[in-house]
Amino acid sequence: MEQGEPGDGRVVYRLREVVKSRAKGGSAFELCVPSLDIGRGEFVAIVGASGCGKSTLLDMLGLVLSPSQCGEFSLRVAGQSHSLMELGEASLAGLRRAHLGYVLQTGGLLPFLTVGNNVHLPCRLNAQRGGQLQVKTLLERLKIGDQAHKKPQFLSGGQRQRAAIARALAHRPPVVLADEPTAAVDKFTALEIRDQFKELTASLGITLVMVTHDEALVRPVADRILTFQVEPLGEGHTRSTLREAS
Amino acid sequence: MAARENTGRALVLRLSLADLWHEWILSLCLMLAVAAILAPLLLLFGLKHGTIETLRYRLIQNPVNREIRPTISRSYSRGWIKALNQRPEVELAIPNTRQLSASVLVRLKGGKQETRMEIVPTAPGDPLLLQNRAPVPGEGQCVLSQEAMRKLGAKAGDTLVVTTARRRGGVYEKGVMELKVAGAADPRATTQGRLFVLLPVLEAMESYKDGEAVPRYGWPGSLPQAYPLYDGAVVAGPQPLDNTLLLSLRINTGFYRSQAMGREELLKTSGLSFPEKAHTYFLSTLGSGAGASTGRSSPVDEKNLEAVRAKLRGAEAALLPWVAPQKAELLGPGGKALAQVELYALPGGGDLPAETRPVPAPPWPAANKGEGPRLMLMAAPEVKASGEGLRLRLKMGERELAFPVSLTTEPSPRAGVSFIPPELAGVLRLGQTRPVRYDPEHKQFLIHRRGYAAFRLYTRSIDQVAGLKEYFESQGIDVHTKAAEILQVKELDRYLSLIFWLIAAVGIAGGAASLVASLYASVERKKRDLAVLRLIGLPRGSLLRFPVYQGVVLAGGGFLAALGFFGALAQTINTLFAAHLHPGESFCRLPWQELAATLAVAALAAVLAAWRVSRIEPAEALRDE
Repeated sequence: MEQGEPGDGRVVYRLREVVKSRAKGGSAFELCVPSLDIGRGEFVAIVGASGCGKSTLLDMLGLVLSPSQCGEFSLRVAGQSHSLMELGEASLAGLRRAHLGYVLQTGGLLPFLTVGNNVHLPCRLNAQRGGQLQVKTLLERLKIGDQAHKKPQFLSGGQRQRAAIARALAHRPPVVLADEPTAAVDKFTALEIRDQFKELTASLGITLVMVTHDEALVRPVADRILTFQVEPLGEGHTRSTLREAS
Repeated sequence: MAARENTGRALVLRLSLADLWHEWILSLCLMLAVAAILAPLLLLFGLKHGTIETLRYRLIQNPVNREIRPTISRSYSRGWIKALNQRPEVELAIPNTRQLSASVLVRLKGGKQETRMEIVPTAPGDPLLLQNRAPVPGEGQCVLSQEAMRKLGAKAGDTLVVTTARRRGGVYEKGVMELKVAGAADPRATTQGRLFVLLPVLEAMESYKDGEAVPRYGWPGSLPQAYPLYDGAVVAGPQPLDNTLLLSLRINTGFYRSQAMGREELLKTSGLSFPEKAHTYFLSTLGSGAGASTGRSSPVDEKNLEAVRAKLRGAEAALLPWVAPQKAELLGPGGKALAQVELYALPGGGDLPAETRPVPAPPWPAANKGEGPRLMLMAAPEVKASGEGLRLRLKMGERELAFPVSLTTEPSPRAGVSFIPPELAGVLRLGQTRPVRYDPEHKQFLIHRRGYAAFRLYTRSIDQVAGLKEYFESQGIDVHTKAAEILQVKELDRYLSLIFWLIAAVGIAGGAASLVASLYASVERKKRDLAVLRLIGLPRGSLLRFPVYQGVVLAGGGFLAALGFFGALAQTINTLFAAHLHPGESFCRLPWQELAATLAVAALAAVLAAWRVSRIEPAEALRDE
């Protein structure tokens, strides 16, 4: 496992001894991250079968779920390191707004806004000026420039996911998190979206963390692939430990 | 940071509006749902405020219920009724004449049939008329009750011929006047045939019944001429009176004392100077009972003097009436005060032998029978006045009496003593006990009416009737009130209010519950979209405004729709019942307080939906459950 030095400016996420425990319907689940550093501009894929904890990890990285225990859990953005365990809800919301982008499984576009306005929304939230042009360029690069004035419901699944990617990138966040962005589209479109996503984040120097069950899809393009080792600890108790895929 | 907050606020508003617009059919449905709840509520409020309030107000404030009348007639003076009108709880007290004077015969001008009707005095501000859609009649006008209208077959604008009858000296006489019908009072005022006129009209009728002339209507009769009163008399003659005669002068004559009085004292008392040869006596009206201790006299009139004259017949003595000196002001032509004078009666000693006559002698001839006293003044020597247009003014308590006077050529021989004819002094003396005024038209002093036999009074609200009734009873005046009816009306009012508020409470609770449910369901449905907004960094506080804005827009839209609905219905109701409404009344109207209350309910519903929003976690967006 490639490890950055503490305080290394290239490291975006830094996790040490992070544990998240969950009890659900009489069975206990424990996600352990012994050590994880994600560097700037990296494309990190998290793969694994359902129930192994990849979504839980993404929630934590997405600042919407706090670890149960942790040695260190920090996010370094805009030249400043934030110890996430110490921040309140309002500060976390601020970090999410300014520095993170999200692509959800089914897009997560707001149905009541046009594609253009959906993509422009993060810019507006951050009170960024001149976002319109940026949005136009992004949409054109994703080949959906002609869909900008439509409501999401009139777009195909693939176009919706591209619009979601555009929204995640619109305000130029240093980190983008994607949760199964290609699960709802056909194989061919998935490949196309994967390539456009990779190309865009790479050209913009954005760190991309993508969760997927399809290891084959990401193996050719990801810088690193993380997976989980699942071990039963007894009656209804499972522990899942993050490790680098071979 | 502040800039970002503002951006966030504007953004949330735009987002919430965009969402409503996106689902415009659903939004419309919600608005209609809200309108469906609010419209009946508004209508209920409107009806409560219109119908119930109007009926309640009419019932409670009905002048008939606020009326107080004395049960017995006695004389209530002008001043007493004026004081009554100044009491804060009294809206209006109108004096009334004797019942007997109030019965008149009425017919339509040009018509034949005469109807006997009671005539009621009114005054500006009479609530019995004004609150029953009738004006207060003006000069030469009258207002009829609905029943009187029906009986006479009259309508507003018609002219009525009103006949007052009297029997004078065994002859039946009629006084006729014409009155224009100014309007009709609702049956609520009275169900009987009544004719309302201004008080002076009725006063004229009463005077006419009393045999007096009423020049204003050309009715003949006598004038209520003022008569003289005297405080005493001087008896003078060349021979002394024997004691038996002197004593008899105070038996059944109204005088209390009769005794000899020296020239000196007589000069001081009457201003008259008798020659030494005259034997002089003074008859005093100073009472031996209560009058004596207070020093007040009970004056005598012409009849008393006549009785004394009868007793003196045969004896060679003259009777000279005496009035206690009265202070007055002599006014110049412009009303400017020229001098203060003290007025003494100057009777002539005409029957006496010349050597016993008092000085000065009256320079005026004796008054003619049936005419008023001569208005002449023999002013004290120090008074500097002359010419025409002089007036004398006397103050009598609150009243004032002024009349023209002309000066005699010779002034009074005594300083500080001004003489006037004894009849004039006597009339002025009457003015101290009864209201007397000088009537320039007839050149006579006339007596004002003494007071009124009854009155009709309205309190400002029915709550004051009981208190005022007690006040009257403490004054020894039994009054007639609607106390029992008032109690019933108040009780009914209490129950009506209670029932209304119960209905309103249920309506409000239902309306609030429905609005909360609508907004809450809307938030529940959009949970995922709202979670996405939280995920991409919209602060919790900003997101709370999302349903609040929507709630306000939906409730506002629904409210406007309901208001439109209400307006149309209220218009219809008010038009339908226009015939039963007074000006300024409506059966259906909404006060702003109730509008505000309805909006507050909408706001409350939105806040509850916002509370649900506050529990939305951003992580919910990441999962497709």
